[in-house]
Amino acid sequence: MKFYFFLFLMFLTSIELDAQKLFSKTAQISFFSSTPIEDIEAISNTANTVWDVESGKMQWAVLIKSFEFEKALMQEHFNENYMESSSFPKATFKGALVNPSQLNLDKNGNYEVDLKGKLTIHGETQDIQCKALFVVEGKRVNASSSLVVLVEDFGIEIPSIVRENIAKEITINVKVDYAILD
Amino acid sequence: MRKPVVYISLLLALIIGYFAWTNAMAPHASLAKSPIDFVLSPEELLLAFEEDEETANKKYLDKVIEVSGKVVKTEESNGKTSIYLDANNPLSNIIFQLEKSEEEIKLGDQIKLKGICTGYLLDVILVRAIKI
Repeated sequence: MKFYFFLFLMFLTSIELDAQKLFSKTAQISFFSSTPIEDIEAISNTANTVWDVESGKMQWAVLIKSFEFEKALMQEHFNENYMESSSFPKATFKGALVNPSQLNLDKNGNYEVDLKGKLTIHGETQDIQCKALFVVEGKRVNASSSLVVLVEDFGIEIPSIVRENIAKEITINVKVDYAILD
Repeated sequence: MRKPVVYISLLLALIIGYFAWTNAMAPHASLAKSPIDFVLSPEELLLAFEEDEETANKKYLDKVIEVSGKVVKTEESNGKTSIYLDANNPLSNIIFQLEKSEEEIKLGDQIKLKGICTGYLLDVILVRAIKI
């Protein structure tokens, strides 16, 4: 009888572990493009992300209109001319940690892991792979990553008149604080 | 006879250039004085996006929306404060990210906010929000 109870307890704990999903609705995504003429930078602090620790699966979503630029006119051009954010209001990432067992949430430390998945921007989907840094500290996991993408891979056309102002490569930075729930 | 014309056109070009430049470089105007496009309850706003996101996007994106409701969560992240308003739904809220973090807003407060609607993920998200 005791044995069955023990088994039952084990079963319960395993469910709990399996179900450990960490999420945030205030993740930060920023991007940066630099040319000799102009630097362009924008930040969103309202990205959603959910991460299933056991399987390593991870999803991200951000609203294009939530990116804030320093200059109002630049933001308008970004939304209307390049991202067409009324037609494509979101960018998403669906993927997974290549080797989720590398990470041990019970042990504080820095973990560098590979992340792989599909990135959708402007209605175009591309396979991507990048490094991500997970910093485990007590009940918090700070994750960050950086990725360089080509504007043309996502079907974003840049008119020739401003081609010198906007870089062909854009650096995307993401960072998030996942809280480990008890 | 020709000189004044040259001077005036130069002056005009300078003035136009100045305004074009300041317009291009202008930061965002605060929402404090912006007129409100829609006044909705949290439930109405959430329901509009849940039922037909495409139509709701067309109607509400980039618009200044005023919403009154109860604060169910406040969150600080990357120097920004997000206020979650109850929309009578266990999974979804109306999230306002505040323009300035110093505004005093506490859990359980009944407040009125306005912000720019950026769309719908799990929640309806508005940015550059201010308390009114």
